[in-house]
Parts: sequence; C-alpha cells; structure tokens
Amino acid sequence: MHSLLEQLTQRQWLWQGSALPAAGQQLSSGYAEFDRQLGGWPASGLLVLQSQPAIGELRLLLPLFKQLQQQGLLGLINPPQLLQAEPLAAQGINPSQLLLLSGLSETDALWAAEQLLQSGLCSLVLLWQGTLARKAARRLQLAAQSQQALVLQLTTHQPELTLPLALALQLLPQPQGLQLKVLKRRAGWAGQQFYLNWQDEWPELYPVLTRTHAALAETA
Amino acid sequence: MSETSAAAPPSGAVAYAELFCRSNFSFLQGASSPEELVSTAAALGYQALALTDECSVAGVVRAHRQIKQQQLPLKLIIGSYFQLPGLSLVLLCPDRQAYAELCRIITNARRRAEKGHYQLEEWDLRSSKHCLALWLPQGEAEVDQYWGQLLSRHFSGRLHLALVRQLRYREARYLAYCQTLAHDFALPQLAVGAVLMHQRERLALQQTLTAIRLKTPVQQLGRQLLSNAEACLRPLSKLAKLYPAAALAQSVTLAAACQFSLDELRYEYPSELVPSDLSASQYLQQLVQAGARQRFGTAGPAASIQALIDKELALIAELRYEYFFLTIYDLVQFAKARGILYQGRGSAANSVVCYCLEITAVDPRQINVLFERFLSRERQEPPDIDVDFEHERREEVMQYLYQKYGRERAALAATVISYRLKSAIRDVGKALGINEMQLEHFIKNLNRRHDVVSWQQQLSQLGLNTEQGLGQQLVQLVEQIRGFPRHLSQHVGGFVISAGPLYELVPVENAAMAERTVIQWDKDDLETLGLLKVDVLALGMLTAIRRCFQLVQQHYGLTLSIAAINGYGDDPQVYRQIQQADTVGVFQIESRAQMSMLPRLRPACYYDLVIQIAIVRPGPIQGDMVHPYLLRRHGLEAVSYPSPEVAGVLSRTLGVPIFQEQVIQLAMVAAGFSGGEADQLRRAMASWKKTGELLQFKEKLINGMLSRGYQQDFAERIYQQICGFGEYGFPESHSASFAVLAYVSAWLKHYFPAAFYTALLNSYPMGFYSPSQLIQDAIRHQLRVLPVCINASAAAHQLVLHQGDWAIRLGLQQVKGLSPQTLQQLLQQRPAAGFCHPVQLKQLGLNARELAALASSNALQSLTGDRYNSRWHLLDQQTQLPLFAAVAEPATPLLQPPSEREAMLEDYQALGFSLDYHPLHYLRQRGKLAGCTLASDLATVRQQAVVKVAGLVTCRQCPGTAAGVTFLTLEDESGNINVVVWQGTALAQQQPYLTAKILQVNGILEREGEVIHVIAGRLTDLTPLLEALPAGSRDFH
Amino acid sequence: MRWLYLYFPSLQLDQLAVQYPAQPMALACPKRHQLLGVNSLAAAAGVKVGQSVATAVLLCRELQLFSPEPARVKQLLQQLAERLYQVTADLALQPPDALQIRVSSMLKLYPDPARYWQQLQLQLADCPYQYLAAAGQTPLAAKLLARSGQAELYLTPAAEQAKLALCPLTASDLPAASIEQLARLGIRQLGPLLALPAAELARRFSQDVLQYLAALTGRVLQLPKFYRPRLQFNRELQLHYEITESPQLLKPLQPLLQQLQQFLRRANLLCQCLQLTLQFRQHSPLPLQIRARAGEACAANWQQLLSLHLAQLQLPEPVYALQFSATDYVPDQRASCNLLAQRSQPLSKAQLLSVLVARLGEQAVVTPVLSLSHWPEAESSASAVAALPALNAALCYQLRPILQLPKALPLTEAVTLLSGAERLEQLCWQSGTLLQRDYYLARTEQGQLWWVYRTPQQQWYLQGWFS
Repeated sequence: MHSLLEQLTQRQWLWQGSALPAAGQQLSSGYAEFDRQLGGWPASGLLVLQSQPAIGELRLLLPLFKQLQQQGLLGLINPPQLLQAEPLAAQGINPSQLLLLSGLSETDALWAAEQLLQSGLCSLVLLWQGTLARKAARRLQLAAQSQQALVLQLTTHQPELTLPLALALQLLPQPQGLQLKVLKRRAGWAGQQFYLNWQDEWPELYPVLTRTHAALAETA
Repeated sequence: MSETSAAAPPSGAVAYAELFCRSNFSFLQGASSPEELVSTAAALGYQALALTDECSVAGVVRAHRQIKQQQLPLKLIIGSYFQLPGLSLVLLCPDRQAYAELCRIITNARRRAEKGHYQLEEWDLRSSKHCLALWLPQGEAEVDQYWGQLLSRHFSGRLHLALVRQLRYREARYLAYCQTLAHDFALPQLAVGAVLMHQRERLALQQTLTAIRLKTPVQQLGRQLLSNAEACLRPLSKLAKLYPAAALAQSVTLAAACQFSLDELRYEYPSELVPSDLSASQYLQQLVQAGARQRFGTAGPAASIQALIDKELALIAELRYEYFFLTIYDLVQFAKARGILYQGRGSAANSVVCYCLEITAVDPRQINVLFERFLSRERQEPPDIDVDFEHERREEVMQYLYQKYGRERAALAATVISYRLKSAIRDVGKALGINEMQLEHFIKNLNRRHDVVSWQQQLSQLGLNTEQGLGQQLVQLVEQIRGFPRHLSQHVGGFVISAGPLYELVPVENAAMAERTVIQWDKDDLETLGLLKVDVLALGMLTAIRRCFQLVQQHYGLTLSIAAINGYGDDPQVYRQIQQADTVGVFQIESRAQMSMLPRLRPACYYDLVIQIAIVRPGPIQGDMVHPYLLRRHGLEAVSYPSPEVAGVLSRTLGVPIFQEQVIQLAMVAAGFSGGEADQLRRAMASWKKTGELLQFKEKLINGMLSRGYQQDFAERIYQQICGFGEYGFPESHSASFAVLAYVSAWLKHYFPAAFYTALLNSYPMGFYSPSQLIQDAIRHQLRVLPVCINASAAAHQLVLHQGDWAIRLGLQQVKGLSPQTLQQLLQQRPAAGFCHPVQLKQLGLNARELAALASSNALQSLTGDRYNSRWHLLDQQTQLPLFAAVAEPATPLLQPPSEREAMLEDYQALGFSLDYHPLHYLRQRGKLAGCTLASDLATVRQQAVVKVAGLVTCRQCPGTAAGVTFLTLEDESGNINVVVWQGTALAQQQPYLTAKILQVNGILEREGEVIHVIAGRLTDLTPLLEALPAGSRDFH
Repeated sequence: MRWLYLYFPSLQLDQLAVQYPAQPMALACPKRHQLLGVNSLAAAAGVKVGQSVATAVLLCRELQLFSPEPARVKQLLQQLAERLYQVTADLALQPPDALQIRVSSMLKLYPDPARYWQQLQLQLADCPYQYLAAAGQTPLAAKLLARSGQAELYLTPAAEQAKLALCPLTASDLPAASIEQLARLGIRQLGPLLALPAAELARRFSQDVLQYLAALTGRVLQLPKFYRPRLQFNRELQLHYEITESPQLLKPLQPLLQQLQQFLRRANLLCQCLQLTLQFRQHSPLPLQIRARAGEACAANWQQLLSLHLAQLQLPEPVYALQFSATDYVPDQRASCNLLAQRSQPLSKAQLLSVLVARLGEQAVVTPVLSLSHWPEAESSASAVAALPALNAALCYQLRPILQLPKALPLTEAVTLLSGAERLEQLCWQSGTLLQRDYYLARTEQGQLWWVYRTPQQQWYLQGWFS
C-alpha cells in the first residue's frame, strides 16, 4: 500500500491538501486596481497570459520584474522580436539580471525553462509559447513550486484551463489603458473583469485629448 | 546704419527674428562663421539676427562688417549666451548702456576664471539694469522655480521665456511644461532656434567639433551628439508650422526694441596727456615747433618742410587725432628717459610731424615723403604707427603703459588663433578615430608649400584612401574646419588705450601669460570700428646695438648714438665692406639671399641700402623685377619712362617699381585713382592671396592707364608687378627705418668688431646665425676668442685686453646646463686668486649635474689640464668628508688625456662649437678630404670648372619663390660655401640630402661677379667619419 | 667552455619575415616614432635604428612598419626553450631575447663539445631566427662576448680574456648611468676598466659596478633560474570494441575524468577546456572542444557537459581510438556562496550558462547590454557575459518600444498618430550618407501601440512594438 501511494505521488497523480501554499502569499503587481481585484501576483507556480502583442502586456509585468530581480535572474525565452534593454533599464531593471534565450525550438525552450528553474538562480521565467502540453505544464509547475519561482507563459491562443495553473488572464487593449479578464484562478472564481487606467503613467501612449495636443498633432 | 525698412512680410508668410544663434566663436560649438550666418539669415528673409556667442562678443564685428559690405537687409543685434548650473540665459543689448553693461558682465565672468573659461555669478544678474533676457528653462521643476523667481525679480518687464523646437525626444511634454511656467511667471513666450549652423549640411562638422571638444572619437559619443540637424537657420515656412504664431510675432517685436548698433561706439582718448591750460592741438603745435628747431637746426626747417608740417597739423586737427600722437609721444619720451633704444615705423615714417616729435629717425629729406600714405580724408581710421623697442626691455614699456593708464584702460588687442592645415588634420583625424601613428605620419610628410600637388593628393599618395570611407570624410571636414577659430591669444604688441574703463567699449579677458589682459577683438575689428591701436614691438637688433654702445663707452670712452652715426653721413669704407657681402650679424642684410645680392647691387649710399632691403623680399622676385633694376643700375638696359608723371614716381628706382608707395603713386598718377582708393588697393594687395579682392581693381587700373595713353603691355606689366607685391611688397617707410639700423650695425662691425661680436653673442638668440657661426666669422676677422675659464670668465661674454689687442673672453653663460643662480653664486664666492683645485668647487655645494657641465665645457682646464682629469676629481666622493678636506694629494694622472677628436666632439656637445679644432680641419689633416677645395680657394677656380668641396651643413633653405631649388651652406675651416641643389638631384639622393651632417659635393662652379655658387652633382655623406657630431643645422627655416 | 649564451637579435622581425617574405621591415615605437629594429632589406636602403619614422619612410617608400609586441616575443622564446630542452638540460631563459646554457654538466653526455654544439644547431636549424652563440668561463663573460658580436666557441681562457678586454662597455650589464660616467672619463672598453685599482673605483662608483666585475671575472658565481616545463594532462585511449553510438562514448571516458579530477586537485587548478579527438578507420579524425566557462574540476560536472555535447553528435564511422587532453588551466579560488539562501545553490551562474551554451549553442544565450545611441538599429545585444557600466536609469529613454523589429517593415495598416514628430538623423561616418527619419507613436484599429517612422520620400515603416 505504501508503495502504491509512493507510485502515485511519483507519477504526480496524487494532490495532497498540505502541499497547497497558503493562498494569501502573493507579490504586489505595482498597480492599485490589480492588487485590489486579485491581491497581486501569486508568489510561485505557473501562470498564463493570453494577449495580442504590443498592447502593454510587458509593461504590465515591469513592476513585477523590478521586484523579482533582487531575488534572482529573470529568464526570457523566445521573445517574438528583438528585446531592447533601454526601456527596461529606464524602469530600474538591471540588464545584467536578464537572461535572454532566443531562437529555440519548442523542446529546447521547455528544457531551458526547466534548467533555469532547477538551477535555483532564476526567480522568474517568461516563456513566449503558443500551447503547453499537460506533462510539460505539470513539470514546470512543480519546478517553480520547489524553487519558489514564477513561470509565465505569454500566448495569443486560448489557454487550456484544465492545466495546473495558479492564474490565467486575458488582456484586451483600451484607449485609456488595459482590460483584464480572469480565465482561471486557484482558490478563486474565474470570469472576474477589470480595467487599468494608464493615462497618467504613459501620457503619450494613452493621450487625454486636450487643446495643446491638437495644436501639435499637425506635423512638420 | 539706417533702420532696416524690411519690406512688410508678403501676405501669409510669417515675420521672424532669430534671437539665439552661436557662431564658431563659441569655440568647438558653433559650426558656421558670423559671415555665413548673417548672409543666410538675410537670404531667408529674417528681420534680424542676434549673434549670441557663449560669454563673448568676439564675432559681432565680423558680422557687422559683412552686413555693411554686402548691404544686407538684416539688423544685427548684439548679445551673449551664459550658462550656470541649472540656468541657460541669453542677454541682448537694446541700447548703448545695455551694451556697456553686457561688456562689464562678460569681463567680470571671464576675469574670474582662467583663459578659455568663465564663471558667471548671481551678483552679475542682479547688477544688470538695461539688458533684455531670454530664459531657456531646464525642464526640472524645482531648479526652474528657483531661477524663475530670481530672474523675474531682477529682470522684471525685460524677461522672456524662450521656446525651442528641434523635434527632440518628448518635446511636446517639455513645451507644455514651458507654457505652464510662462503662465505661472506671467512671461511673454518667444520663439528661438538655438542655432549652431547656417545650413543642414554642417551637421557632420558640428558633430566633429563636439568630438574634438569631448576628446572621444565620434563613433562612441552616442547621445552626446545632436540627434538631428534642426539647430540650423530654417526657412520661415517651416518655422510657421513648428511654432505658435504669437511666439514668432513676439520675436519680431523684441527685435524692433533693440536699436543699438556698433557704429555708435566712439573712441575717447586718454585726456591726462595734455596740460590743463592748453588745448590738444595747441600743445601738439608747441611740441612740433620745439622738435623742428631741434631737428633742422635753430633756424627752423626750410620753407617746403614748414609747409608740409602745417598741412599735416591742419589735417590732424580736422580729424581730431591729436591725442593719438600725444600718446605715442609720451611713450617715446618715457623710453628715451629710461635709455631704452626705440624706433618708430609704419605709415608714420612718412610724416614730418613724427620726425619732429622724435618718433621716427628717418629724415624726410632723404626719402620722398608720401602724405596720402600717412593720412587721408576718405579713410576713416587713424594712421597705424608701430614702435620697436629693445626686445629685452619691451616688458618695461608695457608695464609702464599698464601703470600709467591702469589695468581697466589699457589692454592688448587679440589675435584669433585659427585651424591651420596640420592642426586641422590632427584634430579631425583623432575625432574620426583614425589611429594616431598614421596621422603623425601624414602630417610629418605633408609639404605645405608644395604648389604643384594639392595637400589632398599628397595625402592619398601617403596611403590615405580619400575617395570613400573615413579618408573622404577627413578631407571634406578638414577643408571646412580650416580657418575656424580655436582660441583668442594676445596680439604681439598691439595696445588699446581708452579714456574711460575699456570694458565699457569691449570685453576684456585674461591672456595666457600672468597679469596680461586681452580684449575680445582683433586688429581688423579695431580697424573696422576706427578704434586706436598702438603697436609696441620688440626688435633684437636694438638690444645688440645698445650693448655695443655700452661696451664702446666702457672700453673706448666714446659715446655713440643712432642719430650720431647717421649724422656722419655715408662712410665709403663701411659701404665697401657691405659690397663684399661681409655682413654676418648686420641687421636685415645678413641672410643668404641678401648676401648673394649685395655684390651685384653694390649699395654705396643710404638710399641704395633702402632699396637693397626692399628688393630681396619675395615680392619683387616673383614679379621678376630684380633683374631689370640691376640691369639698369649697371647701365646694361636703357632707363625709360612712358610719361613724365611716371618718371616723377619711379625716377628714384630707375623706372622699376619696388616699394608699395610707388604702386600707390602710380595708381594715382597713371590710372587716376583718388588717395583713398589707392590705399584700398594697398590693403587689397596685402591680403589678395586670401580674399582675392585685387581682381576688382584690375579693370579699373588698366582702363585708367589706357585712357591716359599708356600701352596695354605696360599696364599689364604694372598689374603683374602689383600681384607680385601682394605677398610681401615692402613699404618704403619700413625699409627706410630698417636701413638706418642696418647702416649703424654695419658701421659698428667695421670700426669696433670685437665689441660688435661680443654684443651680438650676449643678445643671442637673435638674427640668422648660431653662436658657432658668429665665432667662426670673428676668427676669420683675425679676432682672438678666449675659451670659457672658471677663473677668468664672467657671466656674460667679455671684451678683454689680451696681449695688447682686444679679444673676446667667452662667458660662463655659454656652458649648457649651468643655472643662472649657480652662476651668480660661483662668481660671488670665487676667491680673488681664483680656484686652484676642483675640490673647492664641490665645497661650494654645486650639485653633480652642474659640476659635470663645468667639466665637460673644459672650463676647469686651468685647474686639471683636461676634461677627463677634472671629471675624475669631481667624481671622488672621498674628499667631501670634512676630515680629509685639508689633505689634497697631488692629482696623479691615471687616465690618458682625451684625443683631439674626442675633445672636439665634447666641445660641440657642451658649448655648441669648438675654438681650437674645426671638424673639417681635423678630417683634412687625416687626408680624408683628398681633392676638396677650401672655401677661401674657390675664388681662384675658373668659371664652369668641375670642383669637389666638403663642409659642415649649417643651413638648408628652399624659399617658396624659387621652384624646387634648395640652397645649402657648407662651412669649412676657411669659410662658407654656397651650394645650389636642383630638385632632381635632391630627389635622386634623398639620404645624403636629408640627413648628412658633413657633406661632400661634386659639382660645377658658377661665378657671377663676386658671387660664387656650386651647382650640386653628386652628394656623398661623410658624417660616419665623425660619428656623434651634434652640430644642428637650421633646416627648411 | 663552461657556459653558452645564445643571442637572438631580431626574433619578431624574423618571425614576420616568414609571413611577408622579401619585404623591408622595421619595428617602430608608436609613442616616440623611432625605429627599434630594422631587417636586412631595410638596412640596405639606408634605414637605421634610432631614425625617425618620417625620415625612414622618405628613404624607403615600401617600408612596412610594425609595433613591438613583447608578449609574442616572450612566447617565441618559450617555444625555443621547449625545443632545446629535448637536447640539453640546464637551460635558463634570459628575456627578452636570449638563452643561457650550462654546458659543463652536459659534457658528461657529450665528451666532444663540437658534437654537443652540432646537436644544438640541428634543433635551431629549422627555426627561422638568426642567432649569435658565444661561450665563456662565466655566464656574464659569455653574454658580454655574444652581445658584442664575438661569436667564438672554442677559446682558451687566455684568448678569452684578451677578447673580453676589447668588448665595449655599452654591451655589458652595467647601469646606463655608470656607462655614461665611464665614457666621460674616456673608458669605453672593459680592458681599461679592469686595469683601474678597485679601491679608487670603490670611491667613485656605485656597488653594482663592482659586483658586476666580480661576477664577470668569476670571483663570485651567480646561478640563473633554470627552466621548468609546463604542466600537461593528455591521454591516449585504444577502445576494446568500436563504438557506433556517440552517447556510449561516455563509458570509457569516465576513468579518464576521474584521473583528470585527481590531477587538477593535486595541482589545485581548474581546467576550462577539454580537447577530444576521435579516430576513425577511413574518415579523418574529428576534434571536439568542450568549454567550461568558469573552469571545472569535478568529474561529474564534466560528465554532464560531455553528455550534452555527445547527445547532438552523429558519428560518421565507428570510433576505434581517441585522444583526450585538458588545456587552459586556471587557479582554483572557490567562489564564496552564502549559506543562508533558502534555495539550494548547486550551480553558479557561470556553470548554468555553460550548461545552456553546451546544448543551445553560443549565439542563443545572451545578456542584453545598454548602448545609448540615438539610432534604433545600433546593435544593443552583446556576447553572453559582458561587463556592464554602472546603470544610470535617468539617462535611459523610457518612451521606447520594448520589442523592436530587427528590420523595419513597410507599414500596410492604417494607423492614427498619437504624438508629434521626433526627428532622428544619422550620418554614416564610413559612407558619408545622411539618413533622416521622423518617428511617431501610433495606434492601430485593434488597439496595438506601434513605433513608426516616415522617410523624407514620404514612405512609412513599422520599427517596434510598445508591448
């Protein structure tokens, strides 16, 4: 009997109540509305963000990067375009804490993510990847759990909600900022929806239509 | 300047005035010259342009002159840009008080910091009552609040907020911030361009200047470079799109408020020179009469001279230049009182008044005085008078000026040091990141005067690809940067003196030398604005002559003076010596070219000497005029004059124009020029190589002559000769003054040779020859030259009686490495009977290096016999212990004495010459120079004979005039040999031609009267025969 | 003949002569623009040591100039010493350009000195360097003879003394100041110096002059530091059976890794690179290089790296033998790791990177580096581990896209502009062409925020994403 239990946990089919970290342990997101709605980002585990590119999905994560860079390296795997260090440095993220792996095949990307997590040096791994197999998601979730790290998957597809996700969000662009929908949340209900107003933080990107703006819109 | 009635802007187009623009006088910032900026601004239809260089108004006069000469429809506003931590500010001058105030602020800011920097204080801003101010906010809230309050309190009603639009990163946010600031402080908003260049294409040059300023290659500068070329003068249409209309209109209203123009600057002379009861002209008249009686005898000057004096005095009074002459008179009296030899020259030498005031020593009766050259009604500026003083005592005269007028009222004019070819290549090359060794290689091998191959082609021959890549950039940028100012340095002697404080007239800043101050304008600016400049120059020959007078007074008991010697009239013996070209050390006529000309021209009187000095200038040689004058002088060519008027002008030079004055007279007499036009022709001649102004006078001159019946070819030849003058055409007045000194020095050399050589040696460095050559010449004149001796020599060279004859005892100052203080200490502590053992020197506490210098110059010969022994003793540490001081055991000679060769080499190393042996004499004794003829025997060799000569190479000279020919001087124990090396021979035998110290030449002898040349065929380098001979030669001077 | 001195006057120039045959060459000091060394061809054209660069180039147009590289000369001397070490034992390096050999100990092996000298010449024959050899009773005597050009090998002691007397002092090891002082006394050769009484000399010159003379004449013997060969670890392995699958190669390599580990522990070193050459029957040998960035000693880590490398490897043919050598040694200063981190710290960053590089290849792993330049395309990413200047956030532009297209794409979608123009102009310093772009922030219909620019020819391009 004892060996059966051991076999089940070894194949990760067994879910023990005690293994669940306290729901309360969370990282502040840097945005008041976000913290009010969700209490911040989960401290560890696998998360999925479904979003079109260039709508502010990375700018949403900048405060999180800034926090986690003290605890370890930030691994970025397979960004769709060239990553620029300057805008990140402008937000106080030290480029020497970033580890950029680009142009990897899917299997290599997963292997690299696992290596980064198991090395104990990374506090966050951001993975641009279309879909995630169940087995891979499970391994990443476990590795993140054991090392108190976060794994974030950025995809444009609909995520598979049956995967062991700590949080799954969908991001939609708005003229004043960003709209977020909760697709799945551990120890919480899905379907929640709220808006972030970025007009005073990024005035040029979300301009408030005023008089001076109109005068200058006319270009040389 | 009349109020610019700018045409009302065409409907739709906007009116604009650029009020913040920096020229290349903001060193290494602005990329365009003041002239380019005003021309472009006018072309773009701007109403006005404010030239606001950083803490400087050095460029405004050039802009002002450009507007006047081109009659540009643009008003020039004077201003300056300042930076303080957290503040950028532009001050503009609406009126004369504001201008005086701005000059004071710039002066204080510059005087607080060392040369090239400035330090503005808040106090300066508080003290400004008239200037208008443009504030450029920094963009940080609390800094701008602080300055906003301070500026609006002190500049209330005169402060504007400047909006800059250059399409930079997050400019919309900065502009919105500025507009809120303007609202908070209730300031009018004004559009400015923050201009650094007159057109977009200058971006590359501007970035190169930044790279030079920051001393890092341009590729690594990243964000420190301008992100785009918007900092240029932009068309009105573009400005209308960029700036709010109100801000553009405000710029025009502010420009209209500024009425000040540089023409309002009037010159006020120092008033304390005139005694209170007399007016300036009365005092001047009094002095001139007294002077005339003294100069022309108690009976007073002849009628014609008196008429000339009255004519001059009348014009001086009319143009109100009395103070100018009184200032110089006072200066000259001070020098006379202190016994400082002086001499006035320049246009003043044409004036009888100056002769009476003892400013000049040229007797008007001897030369044809040209009144127009001295003063003319058309020319609105004072005459320029240069006064030469002894070069060692000139500082006394300058300090006298500073004390008499005070540091605020007397300062030196500036000279703008600008980029020349080699400095441009070095700086731009480094800025482009080209490696330094390659750059130095290019610069060293560039022959600037090479007129056939341009410097660009020379660069590509040296291995730089000038067609594309960095090489192409380098060539283009160097071409643009040449002539750009690098920094202000002080004029050699141009003093500006004013009645009121000078900084009301022009800002004054520190010069590089301690307690010297410089104004920000150079002599051309002063001339444009008609301000007075007195040139206080230094002349080495005057020092030598004074020393010679003292020696003659001391040893021969005869008191001499320049005037006295001139008074003795033309002495045939002195002129015979000059005709034999025995003129080493004589002023102005000692150079190689002069020496070869003297036997041909054979000057016999003072005026011949005046011609001799002027004739050898490159000017006349280029105008192929030398030969005709000589031909006519020896009667080989008929002297003809096309008309009586021309005869009047050219008779004194046998119909061949040599002096600038003659050209002016010709233009007036033959081509109908007025006095003023003729003088503009003179100034055009002086600078035609750079500006090419002479061309416009060409038709006027030639048509003028044709209309008066002269042939075409005569007019053409005169024009060619005038172009020849352009380079160095020498004014007769200068040449006359120099001739006086030349004759005095020749006279002294003839009658008191020993004193003359001693004086020359003591005034070294000066003149054309090195001490070694002077001493060789003295020995050739059968003068005894006694070596340096620790017991017999004084500090300077001495004239001593030796075996009944006057001899020169070389002074201890000739020993290289002996400091003046040690010298004095040595002389004071020298026992009456002199030193008897080297160890006594050691007890005086001389350091090892100085002892070694004394030993190697063989000054201790009387103590130890030879150098090696003296060094052997000096090395001995033992005797320094007091215990052994008394015991001085006899110096047993352990070392062999130095061989002749070693002694000679040591002489050359330590003293720069050897008295007992000449290297050639040493080699000849050993039979190394078989078949070489001595310099003195060359006279016996027949014309065109093949001859072999050898000698020490003492001078290599290739004057720009004779294409490709190099003159070499070889010195052997009997005299000098002149060798001519054609370019072909030189290129074929580079190694001996360039590096040989002792050279053997096989060639053909050419004689022309007394002048002997050897045309070089084969050159062989004999230097290996005498290794380590350090005698340097004056190469390519 | 008890000491031999081999003097190589122009090591660097001779080595260059191999690369550029028949060229006049010279070594020039970059700062003082003076010539330090001249080869025979240049000397023929009149170029001499000490001349200025400008005059030399004038005298010989095609002169090639090189700057001296002391490191390379030292390496050449090292190789020479290694080559001669095969033949003779007591060998000492005399940087920068000479070797000293104690011959007396070798005479036991070679009774006839000529045979011994012939052996040495054999070794030197196939090196391209000119050399001058001289023998003497004491090391300094041999050196002085060689340096003053007296290349005599078989001299009787008396003849040697006579030759020494004529040697110029400038070739000796006396301090320059003393040489100059002696020259000023007219003493330029060794003979007259030795003739002066020692007491007088002691009162006038410094101690090291007297010490040099004592060593030269053999009254005092100074032994130079002899040469020791460098540390090496390489093994040959004949496989019992041919291996076709690369991962199976691990098995035979394990014992070698253990031996390597002991070797490194004993020498307290870390090794940074393993060279593995696989031998095949027909196919040419396949060299493999495995690098450990921060140096590695323990066999397990090497094994992990090896397995990663071998996983990718396809063997063209079965392997029957392999050579295994370890190079690039680094002293082992154990990095201090804090014990408090609650995570286990098995790997250091360098080790993690070497694992990633082992599998993904060098160019995939990058740490981005800041290069603040106006122009977007200025390349900002750098090699894997780059030293970073102090981070100054204030200087960095915040309003720049985080993701930027490697090459701007022509704009096809309609966008609305959100801001005024930011004009950037870049002058390419090589070609001299001026590029001008007016950048705008824009939003697409789907709400994406793009960074676009317009060229003076009114074409629009997409440059980056404000993601």
